[in-house]
Amino acid sequence: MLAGIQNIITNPTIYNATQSTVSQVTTETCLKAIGRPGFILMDKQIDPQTKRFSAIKEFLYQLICLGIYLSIIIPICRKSAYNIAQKMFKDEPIFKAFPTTKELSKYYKMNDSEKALKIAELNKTITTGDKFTKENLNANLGKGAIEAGAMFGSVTGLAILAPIISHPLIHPIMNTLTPKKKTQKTS
Amino acid sequence: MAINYKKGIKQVLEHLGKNNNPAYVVVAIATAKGIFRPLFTMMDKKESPETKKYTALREGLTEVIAIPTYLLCGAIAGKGAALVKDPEKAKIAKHNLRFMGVCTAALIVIPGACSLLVKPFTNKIFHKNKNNPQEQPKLDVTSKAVKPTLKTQNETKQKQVCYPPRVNFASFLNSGMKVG
Repeated sequence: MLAGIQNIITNPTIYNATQSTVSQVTTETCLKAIGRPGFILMDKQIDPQTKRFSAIKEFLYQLICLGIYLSIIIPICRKSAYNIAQKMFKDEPIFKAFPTTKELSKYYKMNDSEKALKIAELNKTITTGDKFTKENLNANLGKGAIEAGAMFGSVTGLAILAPIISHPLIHPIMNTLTPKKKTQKTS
Repeated sequence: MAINYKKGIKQVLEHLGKNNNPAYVVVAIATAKGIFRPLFTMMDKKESPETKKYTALREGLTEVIAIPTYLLCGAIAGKGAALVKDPEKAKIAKHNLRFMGVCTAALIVIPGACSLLVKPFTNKIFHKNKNNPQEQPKLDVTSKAVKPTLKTQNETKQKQVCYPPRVNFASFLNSGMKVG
């Protein structure tokens, strides 16, 4: 039992997955999308019709927020933050070696031997100037720039933009999902 | 000055890249929500001022509770990593436990704490009089009302005057058969 718990706690896959801000926010939003409607449905003080309505509403809200967050906000913010960092720290070899976020993210996930191979591959392309080494490639700086962009995107997206965008979307969806019951209620 | 500014940013980015604590992002989101959600609520023109105040206070309080809860849950859960002896595994365990702590806070601890603390607090502020019905001001409809005095039959008879029947000329002209 204890060994099982320890295996889960020390799982490197979970560690690597949760190192990224996007995966952290995505996991939490998914948990909220399942957990919050679950709690609403368990409440015995509310009548079943209202419970169903608020549970669907909460589920839809979290789902729309996640969709907007992943499709629009994060790709833009991560790229922008990385570009700003590239301009701000022009002399940093990490930004010269990896011009895009995708390349840096791939390098960051590699193990030591894979990293050494990648550095050797990069050095073949260099004709003048200093060569890249594991020490002078400050991967933490590049990763930090990506995470800072993701964090900014998470804040602006989930706290400001997503509620504004999702508000006019939820009501038409709710009306299409439960049109008959509403008319019955009013009559 | 500009170099120091850049150095500061570099240090922050390096720290974020090295150790992306799961509590950072949720605290940042909660802080932004704590500022903007009450602001948006107060800007809503369709709602009544009383409802707006109540909702804004509730939203603000929820985030005020959420921020320390995220930090505390993450920190407390992270301390469980001390049980793992291998330093490499302990580092992984610390991060994973912090993440689990933050998830637990978002899913269970914060909704529970809010239902315990926010509702009684807002009720105390906005529904003070509902709990003490004695303090509620009542409409004074009985004390200032004038009692009508009933007159006896003799009094009404004495004042009765017989008037001659009134003849309305207008009705006289309009009555009868009309020709033409």
